[in-house]
Amino acid sequence: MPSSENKVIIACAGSGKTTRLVLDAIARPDRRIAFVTYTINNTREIINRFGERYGGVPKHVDVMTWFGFLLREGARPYQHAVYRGERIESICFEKGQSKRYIPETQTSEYYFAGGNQIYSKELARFIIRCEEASGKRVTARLRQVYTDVFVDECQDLAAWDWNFVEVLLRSDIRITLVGDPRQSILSTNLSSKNKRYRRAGITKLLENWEKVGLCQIETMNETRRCNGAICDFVNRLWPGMEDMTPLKEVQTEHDGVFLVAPSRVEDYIACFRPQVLRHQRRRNAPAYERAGLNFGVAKGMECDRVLIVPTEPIKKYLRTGELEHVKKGKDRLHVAITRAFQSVAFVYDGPSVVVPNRWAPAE
Amino acid sequence: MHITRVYIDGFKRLTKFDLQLNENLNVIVGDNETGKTSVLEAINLVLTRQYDGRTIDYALDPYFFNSARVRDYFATLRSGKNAAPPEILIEAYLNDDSSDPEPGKLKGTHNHGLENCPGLRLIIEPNKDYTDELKEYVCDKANPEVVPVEYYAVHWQSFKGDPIKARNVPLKAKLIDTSVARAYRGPNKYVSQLVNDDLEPEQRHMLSLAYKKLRHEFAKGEGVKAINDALEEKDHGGTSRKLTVQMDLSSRSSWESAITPHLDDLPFDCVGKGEQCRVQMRVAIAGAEKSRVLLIEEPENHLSHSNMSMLMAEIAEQCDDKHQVVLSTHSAFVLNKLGIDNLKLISEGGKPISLSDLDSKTTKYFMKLPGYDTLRLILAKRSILVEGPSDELIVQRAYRDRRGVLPLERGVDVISVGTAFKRFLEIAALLKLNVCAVMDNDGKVANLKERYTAYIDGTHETVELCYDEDGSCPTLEPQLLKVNSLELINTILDTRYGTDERLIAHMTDRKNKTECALRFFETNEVWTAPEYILRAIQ
Repeated sequence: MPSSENKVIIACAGSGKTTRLVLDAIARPDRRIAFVTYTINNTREIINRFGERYGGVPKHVDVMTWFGFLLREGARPYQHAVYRGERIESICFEKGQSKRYIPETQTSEYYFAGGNQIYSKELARFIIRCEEASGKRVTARLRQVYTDVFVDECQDLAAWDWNFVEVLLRSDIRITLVGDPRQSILSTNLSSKNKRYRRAGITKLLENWEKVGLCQIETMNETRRCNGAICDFVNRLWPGMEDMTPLKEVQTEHDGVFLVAPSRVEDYIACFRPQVLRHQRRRNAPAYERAGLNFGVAKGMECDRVLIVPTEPIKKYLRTGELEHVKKGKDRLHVAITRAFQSVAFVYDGPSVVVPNRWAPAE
Repeated sequence: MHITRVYIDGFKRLTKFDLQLNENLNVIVGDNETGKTSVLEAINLVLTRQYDGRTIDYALDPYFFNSARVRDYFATLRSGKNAAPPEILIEAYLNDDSSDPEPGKLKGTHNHGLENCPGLRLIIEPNKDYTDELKEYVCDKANPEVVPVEYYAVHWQSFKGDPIKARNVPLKAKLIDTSVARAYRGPNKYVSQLVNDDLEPEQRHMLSLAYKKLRHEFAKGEGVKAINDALEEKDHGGTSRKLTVQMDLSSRSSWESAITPHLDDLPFDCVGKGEQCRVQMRVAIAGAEKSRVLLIEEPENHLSHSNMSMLMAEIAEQCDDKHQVVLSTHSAFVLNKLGIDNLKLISEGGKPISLSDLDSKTTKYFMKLPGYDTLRLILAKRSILVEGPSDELIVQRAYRDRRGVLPLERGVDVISVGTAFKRFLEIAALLKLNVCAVMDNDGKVANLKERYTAYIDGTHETVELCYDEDGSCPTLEPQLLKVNSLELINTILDTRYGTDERLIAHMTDRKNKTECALRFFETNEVWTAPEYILRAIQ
């Protein structure tokens, strides 16, 4: 029986979604909550939030990573329903489609490396099989231990993960999913299954689930981070999605989105001390770029100002304003921009349809 | 929470040992060398990962492994074939309650029968990193035939499949130490035990803080100050440094060595052993947040009768929903006192058997018995049940005449059961004990046959009934006269009766009955035992 309290919160960057989840958890000591997030860094962040708000993680909450959750709460307890080999020791993270030619019916070879390491991309699928083969023991046991499962950063889930989320939504455990489909950079696995739901396509999937009564969708589009000008730039990237709006505006001497000519970068950095963000480390890059962070790494952090070293597709987008140029790297660009409270600048000196402001040092 | 079942495979002499446990009280009875102690050790191991006060990882000993399996393993490998190395598996199954999240955290199918149940397991198996080294060691005939434990690893997991941390075990085990030999391990044994097993973390902190404060106060005390002042004035061989006495502030937990429990102002170690046991048990039970499993090994060994009596009363009183007791014993006194329905019998090589399926009237009967008869029946290789002391004496003597020794020397126990044959036979049938009942026909053979049908028709193979079909000789005395001459019996009894009737009247007189049997037992004359008794001693 699906819980009528299943919730999906689509939240924009800087909306305070994680804080909200943390406060929700603190407010319900009568429940037992598995607080699941994507990376180990995310779990540390959540534990810190609990520290700030409660003085530590409350007794009724267990914080874990998505893979820890899948392995310990999902795959292992009833692995024997599907696989009677060795105890599942750990997860094998492997990129690519190396096992494509092995049929799924060859359980040991299909799911496992070395007999006891389960392939990360098949983990959720394995759990679904355990659930089916064991007569729903996986969710029954989970329900015995937890009344609630919170999944933060759910935009990072992919492929079979979503099928497992659906299994959870159909169980009588209360599920709360929180995420920003615009930010799905990492993906928990790389299987081809559910590819159509990857990236912003997740929104479609969630809307379907709401239609059939599996969950209710809420949105949090107010950002306490980005100012109006930055929000406008972001919203232009996502036509068809609800707009991000600033919660409050703080005025400084340099607010909004700017272009900075390469020759002026040193001056700009000296003046505003922005966080430099780049797509990835490049050889022979200038010193300031080498000192920067990759877009992906910046996820979850926030700062007053960012200076972005644009990739060629981003440059094309800046020039023409045509979204198809950034179709592929849009989520990363989105993450880079939405780190900033006050200003976003691109190292670029060509013509631009999107950004009218060019920065020049005051004479 | 409590243990519903233990499964032990490959630990000492226990192999595929499967024991169901009651929620409250369990009394394990078995002959010497059947593994009673090992069962308690195994339960303690799987709940604490501890053996004899140390983590098993460091206490691992080759003799933990089943010796027969070790022998086979070495023999097989040394004959050039491959075999799986000996392993140890101990599983504790816990009761489940779907409304309680705690069992859910330990639930899954990671146990030998792939059963969906909450529980813990301890596995001692070869470390995969050393597979080749292990094989090499075993194949080398220069090495002793002893498991090289260096190549082994210990895994402690829940049935859910996760590794366990001690603090996550919802059930604490407490081995109540009744032995003197083990007790001496420094003066702080009870303190550290108290601290580690029984106090909650907050209570520990409180003790530690109080001790720190006390140490601090010590240096400020008038007497200590005066001494230190005096020391300062003394010359210390030319050094200019100041010499004073202080409490040792260096070690953080040294309070554990400085305090000792007192009982009515007597240091704990000076208190009698029985009292100590009771206190240990009280402390373990009182204020315990988690459920406890109390493991008590043969309390009769080191306790006086009255101490044991009090301990038993304590156990019977204290064990409730939260506390489960597993006790091993040799003593029928203990067994009868704690309730025979809690008995778990371990026989050599056999399965453990429980008496809880006994008729409740039978249980009550045995609970009232003060003596050792229950255990005698259970522990003897073979028992001969007789009605009273005179039957017993005749059987004893007949046995010795036939075999040259008294029955007990052959592990055969002759037990007088009065009129309670049926109750003893019920236990014997249930436990498949080798038992023979020697009965009077009381002149009503048909009645007897009807009453004991189940034991005559071969339903219970291990139980044999011996009686005489001749209703004209209803009891022992006429039976004796039937196979011996009047003259011989007169000689044995030192009597001069002229007729059978008068002799029988004499023999069956209550005043003479036992005396007559005793004379039969002691006489140097050669007499013949009735046929049904001879059958019993075949």
